Amino acid sequence: MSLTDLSFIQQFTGNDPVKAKKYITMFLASAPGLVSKMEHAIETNDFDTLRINAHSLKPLISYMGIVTLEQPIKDIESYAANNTNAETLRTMLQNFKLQIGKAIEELKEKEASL
Amino acid sequence: MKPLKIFVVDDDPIQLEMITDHLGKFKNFIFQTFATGEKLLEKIAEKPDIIILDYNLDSVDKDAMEGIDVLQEIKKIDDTIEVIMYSGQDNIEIAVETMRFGAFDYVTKTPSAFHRMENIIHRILKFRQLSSDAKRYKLMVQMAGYAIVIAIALTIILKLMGIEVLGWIN
Repeated sequence: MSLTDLSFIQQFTGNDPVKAKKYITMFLASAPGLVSKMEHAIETNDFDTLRINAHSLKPLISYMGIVTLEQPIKDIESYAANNTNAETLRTMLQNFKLQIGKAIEELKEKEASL
Repeated sequence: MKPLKIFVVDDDPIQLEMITDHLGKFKNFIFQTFATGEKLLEKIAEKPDIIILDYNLDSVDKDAMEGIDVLQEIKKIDDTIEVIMYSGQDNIEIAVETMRFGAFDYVTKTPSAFHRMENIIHRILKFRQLSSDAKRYKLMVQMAGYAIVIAIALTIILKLMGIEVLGWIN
């Protein structure tokens, strides 16, 4: 089953493959770095940095149609903002990283096919 | 028709690209983009018509000015610049807070944001047109009032000089 749905990007770009590719490329350039920063932040118990990076990633996930991660990223942002339960956050982030890794791989394939 | 100068402030290059890409279809809009509020404020003397301003501007630089502070600075400098706040926070309290500080509207970063932004800009243009019409009508009414007073005064003076102009002034 596909983790990503590019309907929004296609509609936004008016089905222009060059523009769609540009946005996928920008996402692929940005998302792994944000996830790394989130991981580093949880290791150092820096909840504010975790919240900021989750907040930045949240709309990008929606644009790429990664629907299954829309709620998890909101939860990570919200838990980090409330500065509560580092252990729960670690688990949430691990699951999130696994899923977004798969979505990134899928987007790389879609990017290559455009 | 004078082009509409729009400044866009966001620390995420994807957001900047998407906003200018979507609104760029309007040939009468010209854009400048900024990654921080500080950089925007350096250029505020260029008098943008509209500023699209991200609420959270600290994802790259944690010490960067936040959008709400930038909004207050803009309004202090020039209250006529309309500001559309743009944020990943789907939070009514934040939206109300930004409007209290003078934002024209508040848009949440979702896929529908770009169409909402377009509608808001058209609403701003309509609002400006109405304000400008109202000012013009007010001025016309004032001028008409002055003209009547001057006409009456002249008539009285001419009457005193023995020249009959308007029959109804005795």
